[in-house]
Amino acid sequence: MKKLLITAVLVFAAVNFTSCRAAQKEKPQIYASFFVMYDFALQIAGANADVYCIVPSGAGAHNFEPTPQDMAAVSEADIFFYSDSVMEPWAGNVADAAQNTPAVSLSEGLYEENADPHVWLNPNYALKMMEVILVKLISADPDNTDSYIENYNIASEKIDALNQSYIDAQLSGKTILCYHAAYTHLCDEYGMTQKSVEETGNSAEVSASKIAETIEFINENEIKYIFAAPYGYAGAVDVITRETAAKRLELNPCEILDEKSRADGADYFSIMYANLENLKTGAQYTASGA
Amino acid sequence: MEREIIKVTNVSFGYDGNDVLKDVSFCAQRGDFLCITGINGAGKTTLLKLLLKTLKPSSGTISIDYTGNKISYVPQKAASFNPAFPATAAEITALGLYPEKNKAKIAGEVKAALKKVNLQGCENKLIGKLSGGQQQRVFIAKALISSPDILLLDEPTTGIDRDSLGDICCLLGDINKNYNITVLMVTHDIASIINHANKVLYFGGDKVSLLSSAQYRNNIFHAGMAADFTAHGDGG
Amino acid sequence: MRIFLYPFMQRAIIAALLISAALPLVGNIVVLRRLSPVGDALSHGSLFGVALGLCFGVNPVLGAVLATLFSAFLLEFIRGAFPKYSEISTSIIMSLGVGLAAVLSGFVKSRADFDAVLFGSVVAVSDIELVFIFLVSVSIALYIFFNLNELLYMAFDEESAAVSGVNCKRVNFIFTFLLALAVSISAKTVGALLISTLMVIPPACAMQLSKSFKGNIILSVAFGMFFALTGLLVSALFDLKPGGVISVTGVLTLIVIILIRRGRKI
Repeated sequence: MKKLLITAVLVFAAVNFTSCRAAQKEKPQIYASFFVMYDFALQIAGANADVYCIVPSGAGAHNFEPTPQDMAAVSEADIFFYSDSVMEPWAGNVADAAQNTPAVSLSEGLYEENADPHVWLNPNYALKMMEVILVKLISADPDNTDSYIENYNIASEKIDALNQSYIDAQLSGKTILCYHAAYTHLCDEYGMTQKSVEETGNSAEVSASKIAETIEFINENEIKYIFAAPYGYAGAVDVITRETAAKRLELNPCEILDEKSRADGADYFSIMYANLENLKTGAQYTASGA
Repeated sequence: MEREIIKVTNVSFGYDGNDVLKDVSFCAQRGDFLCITGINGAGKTTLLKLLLKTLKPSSGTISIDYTGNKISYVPQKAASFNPAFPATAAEITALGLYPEKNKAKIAGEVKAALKKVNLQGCENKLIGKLSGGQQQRVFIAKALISSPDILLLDEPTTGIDRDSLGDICCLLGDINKNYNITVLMVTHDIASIINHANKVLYFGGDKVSLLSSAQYRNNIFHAGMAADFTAHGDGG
Repeated sequence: MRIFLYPFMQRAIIAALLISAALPLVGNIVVLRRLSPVGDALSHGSLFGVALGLCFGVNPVLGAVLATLFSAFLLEFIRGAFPKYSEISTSIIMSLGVGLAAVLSGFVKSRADFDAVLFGSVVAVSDIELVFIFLVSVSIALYIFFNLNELLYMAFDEESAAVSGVNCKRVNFIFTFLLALAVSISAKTVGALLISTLMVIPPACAMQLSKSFKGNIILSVAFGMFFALTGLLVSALFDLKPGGVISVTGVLTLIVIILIRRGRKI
């Protein structure tokens, strides 16, 4: 028994020691708060850095509670990217705990206070966020500057293509009805109007009167589609689609990605193209002053 | 000699090696009124449970002449009995007829049982609104409603005020005489009931003795027993 | 008031009425047999099931049923380990339920879902859920109706009941099962935290006024339904959370009843 113990200790020490040595040649460790931030960082970093996403697959970005492991991991990291304190109120705690790691707010300055924080849904803002990532990556890891710039250029081209597709879709002047007001920046960029069921940025409990109002509105204006993110809202959207002729169309605000989609290779671009298709189908009515 | 309705022979009972009852023997005839008394913790309630068959003796035999004989039980009024319990005297008395379902029959029997305990007219009173003595009489009515031949009571006079005490004791005496029901009653307050009882089962420190009530009354003043009494602080 | 013309509101009313009948029915027995901590424990246990449902796409009511039944068995299991201190088991189950729900809260996708777990979402009852609620409520009503004597006897004096031939073990088992079901159907609708309200307060009100055991049961159901209807009405009119309004209605009613009775005695 004693022999076993000594062997175990020796093996343990050896493994640690070797991994310690390997660490000296480690790639930059980049932590991003939730899915789309992680995706942007990955677009720019490519294979040159290890990028991690704090919020696990399938979890909500806003109500997330970071674990002590998360805090510890970020304090060992080179950079921590997040959107801002409106979208991730918990990011401040992580930033505080990881004092020596620069915490970079990617959404800062892109929109006004108290407005919709989902800025990345505007592809041009997304590019701006990736630009910030680029700058930070270069300063943290100057050796790979060329590689990062190249990745950025690729991403930039993709954004241009995406942007052009949206423009070509001629969505300007159309109104979309959505459950949660998360698509302001997307709508603003392409001339659409967003009418939402839940006004507040952080949707609270499903309210009977709001649902009733929405049903009225849909029936009066003969709206055929209601847009919603691909998750629950405690069944409120189901209630609405059950009692009206409106159908539900998915408009993914890129906050959450489940394991399966991630495994299938979904990223910001694929999601935004899917969103575009649904917008083409659904954003077909022009309501007057709705 | 009249047939014994209860015969307990060399019964012992214990938990985890502790003997609560050791080698107890006694018998009762039909129509007896047997007071069970003695020092605390000597196993009196346990004896009742053995008679009811909710416990099994570790050794020895209990034979109750069950042919046509029913046995009813009035448990010790739990300290946790909540007077706010929402049930009428009738509803509680009716429980004694379980599992009878015929509503008309139940109503009739309940009326009769409550009359036997001098609570006629109290059918629809909430049990919580009755006095301690009246509540106890309801419980006795519940035990009587099934027309038992044997009635077991565990400390029916505890917590009853002195005035009602006498009533209950007289009631039990009447039940015993008028309906020829064999009564076995565990009590600490033997003074009130001794006039109605004809036998006493006394749980001493080391043995259980069956005496006639006359013997018991005389023996109280007998040195040995008095010593038993005072040594264990039993005011009986 | 037009809001009540909408099918979803009508569904909500039916669900609320059924639940507010089922909960007091089991609640009576829970109160009389001093099982309120058990009811509370199961409610907290159901939290986990509802959270599981809302976070991972499992039907929340089904999740609640499984979690509650699991909690019920775990409760008995732990209770066996602490024969003299059975209250420990209820606290353990409560901690477990809340703890697991807290872990799951990290996976909640929207604030609405999280609130729904705690406070219910009576306006979002699906067809399947409504059918299930109906079946459970009817089962509970039938069982209580046909076993009134047994339940009364066991509530009054379990020992004597056993001696008189009541199969206490079986009644306890079935009752716990029905209690778990009642908690489950309520968890997603009025919210796990508010289940105890509808389970305990209507019987409490009834006990202040009832004149018999049967009367107590009927009165408690009446109170339950009254709280639910009032709660829904007020919450719809003033755009407040239904679960909360139902609770407050219940407590206020109880206080008023107690005060009136005190007043009469003077």
